[in-house]
Amino acid sequence: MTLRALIIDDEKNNRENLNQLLTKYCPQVSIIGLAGSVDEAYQLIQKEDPDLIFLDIKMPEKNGFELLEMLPKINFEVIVVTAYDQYAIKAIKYCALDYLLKPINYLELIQAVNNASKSIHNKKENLQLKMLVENLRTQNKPDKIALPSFDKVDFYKIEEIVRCESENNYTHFYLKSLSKITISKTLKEIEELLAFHDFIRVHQSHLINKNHIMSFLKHDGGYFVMADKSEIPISRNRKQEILKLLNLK
Amino acid sequence: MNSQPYSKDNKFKKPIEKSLQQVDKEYYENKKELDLAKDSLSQSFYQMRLYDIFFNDLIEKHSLIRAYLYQFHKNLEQAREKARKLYAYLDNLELKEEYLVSSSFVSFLDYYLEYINRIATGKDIPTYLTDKNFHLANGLFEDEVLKFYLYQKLNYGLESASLYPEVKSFFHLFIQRFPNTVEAHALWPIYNKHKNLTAGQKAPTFTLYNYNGNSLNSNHLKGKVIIATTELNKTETFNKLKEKFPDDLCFAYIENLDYRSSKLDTVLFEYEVFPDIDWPEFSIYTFTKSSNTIIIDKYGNLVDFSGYNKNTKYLIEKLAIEPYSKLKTTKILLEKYSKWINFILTFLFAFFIAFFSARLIKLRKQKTRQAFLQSELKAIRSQLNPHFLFNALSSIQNFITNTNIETANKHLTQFATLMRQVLDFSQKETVSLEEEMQFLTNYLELEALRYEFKFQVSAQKGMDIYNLEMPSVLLQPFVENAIVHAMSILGKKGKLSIDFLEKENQIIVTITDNGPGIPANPDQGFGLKSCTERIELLNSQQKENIKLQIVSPIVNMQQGTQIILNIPKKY
Repeated sequence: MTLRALIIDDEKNNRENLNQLLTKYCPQVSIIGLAGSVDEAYQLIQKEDPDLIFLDIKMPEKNGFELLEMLPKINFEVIVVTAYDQYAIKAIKYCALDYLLKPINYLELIQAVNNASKSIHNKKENLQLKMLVENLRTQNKPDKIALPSFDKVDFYKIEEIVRCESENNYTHFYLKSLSKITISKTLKEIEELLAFHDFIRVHQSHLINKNHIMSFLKHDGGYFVMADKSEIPISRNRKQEILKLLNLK
Repeated sequence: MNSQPYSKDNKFKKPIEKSLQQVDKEYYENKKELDLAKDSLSQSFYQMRLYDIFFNDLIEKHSLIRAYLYQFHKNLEQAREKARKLYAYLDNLELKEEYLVSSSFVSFLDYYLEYINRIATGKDIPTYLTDKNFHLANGLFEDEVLKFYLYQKLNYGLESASLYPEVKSFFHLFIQRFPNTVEAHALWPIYNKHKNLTAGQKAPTFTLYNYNGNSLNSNHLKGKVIIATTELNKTETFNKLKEKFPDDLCFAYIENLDYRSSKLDTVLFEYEVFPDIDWPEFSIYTFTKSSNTIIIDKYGNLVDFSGYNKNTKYLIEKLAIEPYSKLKTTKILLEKYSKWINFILTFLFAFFIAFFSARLIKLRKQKTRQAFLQSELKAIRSQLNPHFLFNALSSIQNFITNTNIETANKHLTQFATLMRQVLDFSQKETVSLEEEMQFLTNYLELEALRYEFKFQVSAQKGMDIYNLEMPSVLLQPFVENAIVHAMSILGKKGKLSIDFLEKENQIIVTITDNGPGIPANPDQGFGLKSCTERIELLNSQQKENIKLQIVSPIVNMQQGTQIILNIPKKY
């Protein structure tokens, strides 16, 4: 199956470079257009109804996110391509969207295109992008997070997350509903993502939502009993700091 | 109390004075003569002892010994003779009555000291409790004798109404000389009573008994001046005072079992107190001659316990006239000390102002310093050697020139990733071990393009590299150092390895190279300074306690450098 794709970037060299890389490494992608601005891209999308767009964020006049906001319905996949934009990357991570960094590593490009082709079969509304647009629109910190599992992406309210536990480069999410979701991201990445959401790293392998702490047990160096009845140990080295943070000391 | 009788050998230290050595010498030389003398002396002492026991006349006995010793002073030769006999007698003296032994022996030792003093100084020096006498006795007597003597002296000396400074000093000398002995423990409470009781203090509470058999706590007598006394011969004066101030005075008789008198005026003395039981703090004073009257004012303060004298009457009158009000205690205090209170309050206020402003200034300083350190750390983190940057780009250019596009592409993205990591890490205080290893691998791969050395970045098996954390870009300067000073020289022969280990609460990183090692006097460009500076900065923020160890050359290898870092685990 061929993926009909658009490349949106304000710099000509970047458009051509990506075009060449796709031709060389991703034969299943056929480029149906190159756009140098958001307005140009908007016209092309309306006209061509693409399966996939490669979208640069930082562009003069309107940025990549504004294009997404302009569209009434997003029924295509987006791979964000950015040079260096921490804020944009964070926003993308919340929605578990794919992104590429410039200069493009062709291995990552192949990976991202493969991921996109999996979800393009059904031309449904792209919920991850919808969420991204919503998040960008509200300006508040997002209240939901997208957790991609093996074959699908689910959205969860951040306040419903009781705690996260690491297992190597995987992270288990334990929810209020007592369900458990495992995703392929390190706890460190999750911690950075949830840093402004009342989450505290209390241990090398535990990140907890402080709103779901039921009690604090002092035995054996201290434990938090969480809403899901789990007992979470506190790091000895960070104990004072953590208790202070929670006004327990 | 030590009651061991004085016995023959070694009880005296070898006397310093020649004359005394003489005495001792003569004692051993003329045993026969001495035996005779002993017989006659012991007879008289025996008689004296009987006299002591049956007539309880201690003064007589003392004066007898004093009479002997008086002779010492008059005629030295004769005195020696007498002394010899006295020692001889005392050597064999079997004294069964404890009290007798102690008092007569102490008296003897007193005279003995007087005698030595006279020989040494030609003056009569009384054996009071003075430092001088302490040192003299210390020089003359064997430990046990000394302890016994001093204890007896102090036991008596401390039980007087006032604690004279020289007695105090004598006591402390004793405590120093014989710490933690039974005697020292026995003397402390007596000494402490002195310390606790001074005029103007709150008097301890005690129980008074009236003659109907009812008891009363002294607290209930607030508003009355309490005169507790053993003075029965002053009854007339007391009665007059009582008539004059019937509601203001309360006389209590201090029960003294020895002198319980039928003359006791039970109208005057409404109450009696039993000093040993009810009044332990006072018992010590009530049995000494000088302190037979204790006066407590209407507010329960101890006014006087120096004994009855001609001023006592006026003192009682003065105290009786003084009106009593419950509020007065605090009012008087306030009036009396208002100046002081004002002063103290002002001082405290000034102190607090000074303290808090100093603290504020300190806090602000700390904050600025913290911010400064933080920025400094950030600056260090985001630093990459420009030499490296442009040389890396140059290496990539070389691949392009040689149309090795894939390799060029690979290294270009690697270079980009490295740049990104440096920028990212500069924002973070800590990174995961995996991130740091990735970063180092990227860096080393690019450097290896230039010098073609071999390298390895590895972690101990089973180490949780995704979740263990360490300060970001901590290792890069060390690695760069190894490249500049070892890999650049060795080229293809160069080997560099970075190993991560986990041990107890620490992450141990070892950076090993096979270079020539660090010269004995590394020049400034050697880069170690900037490496250690970073660690010092981190440690001074008290967030870390990183230990650095540099081994160069590596033991048993005559070459190579090993950098070992102990980094405390974050979690």
